[in-house]
Order: sequence, then structure tokens, then C-alpha cells
Amino acid sequence: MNHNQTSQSTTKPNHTQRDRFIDIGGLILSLVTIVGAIIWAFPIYWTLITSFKPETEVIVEGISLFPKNFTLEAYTFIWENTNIAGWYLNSFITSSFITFGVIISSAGCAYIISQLNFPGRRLLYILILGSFMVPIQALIVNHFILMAQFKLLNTWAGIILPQLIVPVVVIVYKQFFDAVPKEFKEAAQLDNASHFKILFKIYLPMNWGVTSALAIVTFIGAWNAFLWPFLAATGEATMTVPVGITQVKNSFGIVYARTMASAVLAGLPIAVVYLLFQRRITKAIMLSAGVKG
Amino acid sequence: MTQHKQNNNDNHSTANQSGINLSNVCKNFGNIKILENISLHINSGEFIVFLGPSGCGKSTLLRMIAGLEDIDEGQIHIGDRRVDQLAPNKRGIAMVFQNYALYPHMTVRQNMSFGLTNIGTDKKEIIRRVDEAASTLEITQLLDRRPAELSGGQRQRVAIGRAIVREPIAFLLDEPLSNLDAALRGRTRIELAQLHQRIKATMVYVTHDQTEAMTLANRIVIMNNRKIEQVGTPMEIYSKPVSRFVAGFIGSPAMNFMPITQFTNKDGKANISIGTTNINTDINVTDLTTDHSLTFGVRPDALSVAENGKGQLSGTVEIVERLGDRTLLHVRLSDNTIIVAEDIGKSRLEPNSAVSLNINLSETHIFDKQGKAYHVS
Repeated sequence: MNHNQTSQSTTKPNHTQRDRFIDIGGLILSLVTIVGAIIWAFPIYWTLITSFKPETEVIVEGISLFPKNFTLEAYTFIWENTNIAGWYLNSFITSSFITFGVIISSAGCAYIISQLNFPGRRLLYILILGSFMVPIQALIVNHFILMAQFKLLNTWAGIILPQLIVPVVVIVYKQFFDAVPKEFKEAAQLDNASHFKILFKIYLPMNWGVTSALAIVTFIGAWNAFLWPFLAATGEATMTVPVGITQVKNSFGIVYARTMASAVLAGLPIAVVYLLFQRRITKAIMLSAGVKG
Repeated sequence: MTQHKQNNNDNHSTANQSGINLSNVCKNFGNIKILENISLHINSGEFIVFLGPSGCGKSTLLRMIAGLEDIDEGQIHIGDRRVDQLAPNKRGIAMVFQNYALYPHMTVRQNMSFGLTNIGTDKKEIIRRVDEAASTLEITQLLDRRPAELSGGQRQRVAIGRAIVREPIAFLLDEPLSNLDAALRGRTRIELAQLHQRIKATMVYVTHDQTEAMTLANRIVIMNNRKIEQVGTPMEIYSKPVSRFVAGFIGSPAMNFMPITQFTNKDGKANISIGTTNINTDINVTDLTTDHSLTFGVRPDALSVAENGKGQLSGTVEIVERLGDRTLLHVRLSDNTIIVAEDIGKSRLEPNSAVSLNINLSETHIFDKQGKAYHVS
């Protein structure tokens, strides 16, 4: 008993000192994080308030953190003078097809590599891993020539097809399919299910969490894609939102409030998607980075 | 549809004639031999249990019957059809997996009807079969639940239900009780035995639990080291093990083995010495050609405490295990061999007390150097 008391009396101050040290460390870390967040978020805030200012106020010298004269003029102009509704439609259709195509083809490819035994399976996987290391920019000229030869430039198909190749989705799916106990596939085989049915009725529903996470991230990526749609869609009719907003200018040059308003409009759907599916998106990003959630 | 039903009925009638036959089946993984020349006939309607230590190949053998593993040599017949080249779903069997493999996103009803839906069985027929199986297994109230909402025992029943609705020739069960706790395992074991009596289907069951094997099986197949060691009824295997491995593997506590110091073949019967004790046994050793490296075997239940202190073996009690209905005595003999003997539940013996043991000579065995067993005929 005495011994316990002694040990308590000697260890207690140490604990307090350590706790205090952790508290101060934590406080500094929190402050650094907050400052970092402000630095990161400030351009977004600046974009937002600029879009609500009249152009005369935008070009005034000095920094004004709030609009003195709140106006929706920039938004009204974009809505009335550009084809933004068409760009939204193009973005929505191409992003949806890309998402659907990427998920289906990647899941199928991952199932084949993960579950079927055939000569060259390992080589195929290595090739997919290898292609993961080639950036899309390195292939963009090839894609352009290919799409031009197929006469698919300025078409939805031309925007969609080169964006269907997303090796990281195959790799993530393969990891998850590898982790499904083999008994599920065997039980399904005994239940007369074909491989097609095993994938779509067993493996994909069993991995619904990762599928939805990957689908959301793919959709966001496709919506935000600029370089390839910029090259593939030169006519207004097939432009996506990120490409279309580059057209928001008049004969007097750039009007900052309108440019900022178009940036807000381009990012708005993605911001809504992010707010709705925050957890799943975080999970997908962790999966893509190789961290299992 | 009708044809499928007829096929099923045909399968049943064929199985009734001939069961499952394995002839000279071999399996290798690369250069490693997993199973060597396995030949076995499983009768129709029989409950047969593959029993053996981990890694002996029993699950592989079951999976080969199911078609989930290819065979390298030999033939497998189910009914009078050769099936070793057929896909798993063409063999007319159903399997219950160790982890049940119930599809987690489907309800119990969907799990049970998945196989029938895939072969295009009529919806009314699917509902009839599922309801009938659910009623047999008393899981009707669980049909709309998902596997995650079920207990281990309920999942196990659903897995069996999924097998029953397919009306297979044979049920293959791969350690289906090993994920259950001890109490539930005991209850489910009895239910399985009752189910087999009711549906009278051929069941091939893999386990490493000898209690399950002894209580469920019509016949047990003891496997060791890639081969079948012995096939027999539970009591044949318990009382007449063909080898030292089988003798030591079956029975809890295990059989006692004592080195024989002197051996004489007297008119085909063995007279032996264990330490300083001479025992004249009735063990038939007519064809025993060597007197070297012999071992005497006797089960704990064939040893009893000699009240008058004049038993064949004597020693000192080291540990007393009181199990309620009986007491297990760990006794050190004069040659330092430790053996286990059974006494009554209210045994008066305590550690360090001297004890004398009688041997029931009709239940003794001798094993030669190769492990071959000799019994009282």
C-alpha cells in the first residue's frame, strides 16, 4: 500500500508535465493547421466575393474582403450570354458515361486478374501497374490523332473514350476482390452462377462501399477534367463546363467578376457532390493512395 | 424446367443405387503430393466423415469431390456418372462451407433461392422448396433477414438450407460446426444427425473434431499423411484401430502407449513385459515376425483402480483431473512412463498417493515398429 502511494506520488508530476507538454504541442499544431486552412481557403473565398462585386469595384486598388455593392450581374451575364446550360449537359453526360464505363470495365478487368487463372495473368497485371505510371499528358497526342482518325473530335464519344482508362481503379478493385474469401465464388459456382453473374451479383454488391467511393471520385475527376476535353471539344456544342468557362470574355478583354462567377458555377456541382458524399470521397482517396479504410 | 426436375429425380434414383466412388485419386500441388491413391466407396444415404489432423488432405479430398479442385489421377463417380471432368455445378452436389459463404447483401430467402434462380427454376417451385427447407430447419421466421442479422447457429442452418433446396445427390460439409461455440456445436451436431435421419441423403463431412466424427458418422475415414489410414464404423475404429496413429488419434484422453521390454509369442498369443510387470495377453500375434520396438497400447477406460492393491500395473498418482462423472488419474509407473487411467467420479485418490491398476486385457493392443496394430481377436 505504502509502496503504491510512493509510486503514485512520484509518477503524478511526470504525467502532468507530459500532459502539459502535449497540450502546448497540440495547441501549436492546431494554430498551424488553422493558418494553413485559411491560406488554402482564401482564394476560394476571394473568387466567391469577387463574383458578387460589380466590375468597377473589382478593379479598385486595395483589398476589400466584402462586396460593398452586392450584385448578381456577373451570374446573370453568364446565364444570358453563354451556352452554360449546354456545357453543364455535356459535362453531366460525359462524366456519367465515363464513371459508368470506368467502373464496369475496371471491375471486370480486376475480377479477371484477381479470380481467373490464365497464362499471362501476372504480365497483364504488371502492364496495368506500368500504365498507372504513364501520365495522361504523355499520351495526349496519340489520343488526339486516334480520335481524329476515328472522326470523333467534337463528339461526346471523343471526349469519353480516352478517359475510360483509369488503371488505379483496376488496382483498387483487384485488392478488394483478392480479399473476398474464395468460398463466396465457389458457393456461387455451385449455385450455377457464371463469372459474369458472380461479378455483378456477388463481388460488386459485396464491395458496394468501394464501388460508390470510386464512382464518386471518378465522376469528380471527369467533371473537372480540362486538358483532354479542351483538345477534343473545339466547338461550343460539345464543350464541358471547365472548357466553356474559358470562353467567358468579351471584346474588351477579361471581366474578372464574370470569370470568377463562371469558376464558381463550374465548381458548384462538385462542391455539392463533395458535401453530400464527404466520407465516401475521403475513403476513395485513401484507397487510391493504397490505404485500406 | 420439367426436364431439370426430372434430371434431379434421376440423380436421386441413381445415387440410391451407387453413391460416390473414388478410385486411385491423386492430387499434387506442383511437386508436392497432397493425396496419394485414394480409393473409397461411399454408400448412398451414408453419413461418412473424413477425420484427420490439419494438413492431412481431408478438405482437399472433399473439394475434389465437389469439383473445386482438379484431380491429377484417378476417377470420381457420383451415381453411375463419371464426374471428375465436370464443372462443380454439373455434379449434382451441394456444399456447406466452414465460413458458410452466405451472400451478405442478400436475404436468407435470396441466398437459398440464388442457385435455383440461376438454372431458371419456376418461381412457384423456388418458393415451395425454400419454404419447405426453411420449415425443416425451423428458420421460416428468418427468411427476410440478412446474414449479418443472424447468429452463428442460424447462419449454419441457412447454409444447410441453401444446400437442401438444390435437392442434391450428396451434401458435402466442410467443418460446418467449427465456427460455433461449444454449446451450440453440441446442439447443432444433434440437429444434423436428426436432419440426416429425416432426409436420408448422402452426406460427406470433414472435421478434425473426433467427437463430431464419432457421434455423426455411419463410417469414419481416418486420414493421415496424404493417405487413408482406416475406414470403419466409429466403434470399429475405436476398438480395433489398424495403426498406432489411429489408436492415438481417436479417443480422448488418448490411448496409453508403453514400451514392451520383453516379448514372447506363445501359441500365437503375446506374453509381454512392461518394466518389471509380466502380462499374458490374448492379443493375436500369429503374423508378428519381430520382437523389437514393440509398444503396448491400452485406453484409459480399460484401466481401473485395483481396490486390493494387486493390479498388473502400479505407480504414483501425479495429477488428478475430476470431470464429475469420472476422474482421470495421471500415473507415473516405475519406469517413469506416465499413463492415464479412469476412476469413478468420486475417486478418493489424491496426488502422490500410490495406486495399483487392473488392465482389461480384452481391450489391449500391440503395435510393431511400423505402427501396425495387433488386437485381441
